[in-house]
Amino acid sequence: MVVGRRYARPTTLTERRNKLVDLTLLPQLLITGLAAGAPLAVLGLGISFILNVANRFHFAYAVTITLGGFVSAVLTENLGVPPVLSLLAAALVTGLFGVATEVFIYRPLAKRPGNAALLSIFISALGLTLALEAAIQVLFARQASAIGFPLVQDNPIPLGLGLRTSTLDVISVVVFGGLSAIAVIVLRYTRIGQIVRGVRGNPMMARAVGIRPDTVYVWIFLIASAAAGLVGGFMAARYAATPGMGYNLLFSSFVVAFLAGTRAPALRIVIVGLGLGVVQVVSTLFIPPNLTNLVVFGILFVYLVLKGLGLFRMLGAAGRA
Amino acid sequence: MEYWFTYLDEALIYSMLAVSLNILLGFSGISSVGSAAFAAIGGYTTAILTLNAGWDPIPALCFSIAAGAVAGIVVSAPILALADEYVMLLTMSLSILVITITSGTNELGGTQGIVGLPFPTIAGRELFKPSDFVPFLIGIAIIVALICWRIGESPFGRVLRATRDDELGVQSLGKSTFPTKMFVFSAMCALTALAGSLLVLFNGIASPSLFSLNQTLLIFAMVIVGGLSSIPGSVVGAFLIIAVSPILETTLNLSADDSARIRPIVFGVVLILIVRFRPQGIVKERHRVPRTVPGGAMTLAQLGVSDRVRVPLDAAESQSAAERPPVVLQVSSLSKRFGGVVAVDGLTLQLRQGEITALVGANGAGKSTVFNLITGAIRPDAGEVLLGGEDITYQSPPAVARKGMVRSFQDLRIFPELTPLENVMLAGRNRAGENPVALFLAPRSVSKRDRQLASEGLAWLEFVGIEPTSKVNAGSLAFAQQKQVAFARVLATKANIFLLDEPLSGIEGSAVDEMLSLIEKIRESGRTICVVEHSIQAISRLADWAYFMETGKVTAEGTIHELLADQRLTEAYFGSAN
Repeated sequence: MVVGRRYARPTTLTERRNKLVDLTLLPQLLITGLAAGAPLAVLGLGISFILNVANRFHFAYAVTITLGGFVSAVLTENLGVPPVLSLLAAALVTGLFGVATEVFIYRPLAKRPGNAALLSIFISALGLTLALEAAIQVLFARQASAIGFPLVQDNPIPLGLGLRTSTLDVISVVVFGGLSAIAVIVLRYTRIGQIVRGVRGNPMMARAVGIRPDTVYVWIFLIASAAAGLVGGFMAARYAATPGMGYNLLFSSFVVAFLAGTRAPALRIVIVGLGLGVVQVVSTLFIPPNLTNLVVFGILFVYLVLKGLGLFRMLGAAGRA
Repeated sequence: MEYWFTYLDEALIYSMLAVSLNILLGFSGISSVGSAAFAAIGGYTTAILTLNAGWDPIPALCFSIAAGAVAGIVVSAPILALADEYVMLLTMSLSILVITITSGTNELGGTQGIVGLPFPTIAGRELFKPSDFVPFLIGIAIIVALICWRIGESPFGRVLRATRDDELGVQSLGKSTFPTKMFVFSAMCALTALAGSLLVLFNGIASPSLFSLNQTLLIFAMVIVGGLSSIPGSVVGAFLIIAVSPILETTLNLSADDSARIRPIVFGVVLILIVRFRPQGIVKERHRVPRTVPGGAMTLAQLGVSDRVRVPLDAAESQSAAERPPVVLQVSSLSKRFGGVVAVDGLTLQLRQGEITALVGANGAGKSTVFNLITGAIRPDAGEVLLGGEDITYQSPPAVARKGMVRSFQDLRIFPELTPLENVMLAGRNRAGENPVALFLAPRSVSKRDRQLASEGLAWLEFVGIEPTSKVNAGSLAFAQQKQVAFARVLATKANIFLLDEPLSGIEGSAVDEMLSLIEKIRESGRTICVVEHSIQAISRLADWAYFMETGKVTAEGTIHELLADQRLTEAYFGSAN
């Protein structure tokens, strides 16, 4: 899936070729791409801190997004709750879900030595994903496999110079861009940022100076999962809530987190997230929209191959020399 | 009855998928989440060949196996050197990608899939009903299980399990791990593709839903529930998990649709509970105890070590350089910097045949880095390492070990999930046993050599003072005993040069004295030893020659008595008195 593929969707090969030449589309794609990248930046931040600070290979982040999508859609569509309240409820539910996962499932497993912890956390996350996704399907998606979430009327908004955006794109940039900005500022300039960096660098040392890493992990899960719930709600509004909606988003956010690097500052993660959104949207010029995953995968694959070959280390060494 | 045969067939096919995943996940420690992707490669290859190219199903099946192997090689080459998280991520994304591509490509039937495949014909009989498939599938499932069992429960499997536990440890014993992992990955991809192909032939359709990410999770569940590193466990796991559907349908009277919906909830919850409360699964990991040659352990004489220790030479006797034995390892102007820190700076030293040489120096002087540099674990920035005159400066750790220079580690790097005997046996070479082809073609020479290694291993364990027949895993021994196992493992390589990194740290009392006399016995056998050690007392007793290191440089050399006589050095080492 890719956000904003409704623009400039090439249907035939010739049309696609024409688009190739038509570089005037680029500014439009850039705008759409940034709106598509904002949720990825938020998810990238979330999974990066879960992976690198809390050290949990949290595959169930995908089903967290799905849960957010269904909570908002079902509350509004079936129970008539105002959309904004549904969205907040989704954030609350997913936030608590994340905390419960960390406290009751991951934390007891994390004490196992080395690789055993990684694998057992990953397997539990798989189990959780399987069970929760099926439960969502049984409870909500029995009759229809997709439920819409009427957050707002998605109208096109002209920006002049032939460029345009849409209501949902504006919401995406404002809400997720805003959340990203807050995260960057808080992590960079406050004591909270210091604590998080301390725990990421050396949990034992952090404990020695009176920080409880376990508490930090719980907060990370709370905030990252609530943010994932919001993204889920937003995606339900843009498309519809479907049981498998979280996978591709998780996949993209993993890519953001890995590309940014394990010790990345928040700002770099946000930039990579926005960049990935733009790349996904621009790639629709060249390949069918349903294959944009290929592009994301390609980027990741090339990056990892180069990493495996030690190219970045060599470049780093060359840079120093 | 056909109703039950359908599930039996499915269970047989899934048991192949589970067994091959277990070889990767449980035996090799390769966290592949790509089962469905490789099964899809096999399945779609079969579908295209039979339907579009008009092949018979059986040749198409064989071609699909090859396709799986090739795909495995292509994928494994770049990813197997990466950390576990990346392996999970890449194989998982591969699964998602395969679904995206197949459901988005009209030539592959889109979301609906490729339908209308011909029924396979075996020995002139068309496999039409589920019951027709049963004997055919049982036959293939047994072959697959036997192949996996042979790979897992053999000297090759022992190398796999050791690599899973500690890759650098395996390399330090002269075994390259990357080709092993690459082989096992592509072989299991081939078997997975075979199962995928069978799944397609059995269902008569190749569709994305047959190979969704959920299928991978299902196979994961089979392996975990059945028991990691247990081949029978995976078969049990596959049958149990497949049986959930018909049991839900018949006992709770659910429709097939409803049971398919509820099934994942059951699996998911079971998976979480198993990982938490019975991580070893239903069938606990258990491996064959290696058999020895008749007569059990070898004697020390057969190992080339004697019981007696020579009376130490008079210090004066070894003083003159002219009388000293020949140089076997020459290290010249070796340098290494990490970022801005110079860890080793133009270091030059020599190890002489049959002598114990000590590297002395305060913490952070760069002693362990020297070991890492000369064994190839870290590439030096400059300098030269000559082993018996041959330049080994940029060779890999396994290559250096094979040339006869083996090191121990400060943090031991024993294989915690293997028994002490298995740990020590891994130090020996079993050319046939570690070669996956010879494993199947020359089973006799494999087992003959394995028995020899077992007998030697027992003797080495006895030599260092470990109860040789102990069946507990090395990881659950006390630290001092783990240290003995690690030492026995180093000795069992029969290398000519041993580099011992702090052989005495973490042990005390009479164990120290025992360790010292063991090291002396090894010198007695003519081997060359280099020790990094903090205990001046121990070095005084052991070392024929000592190098004093400060901030990455050798600042003095001589007998330990000469070094101790120098007041500046003792101050640099112990700190000044005031």
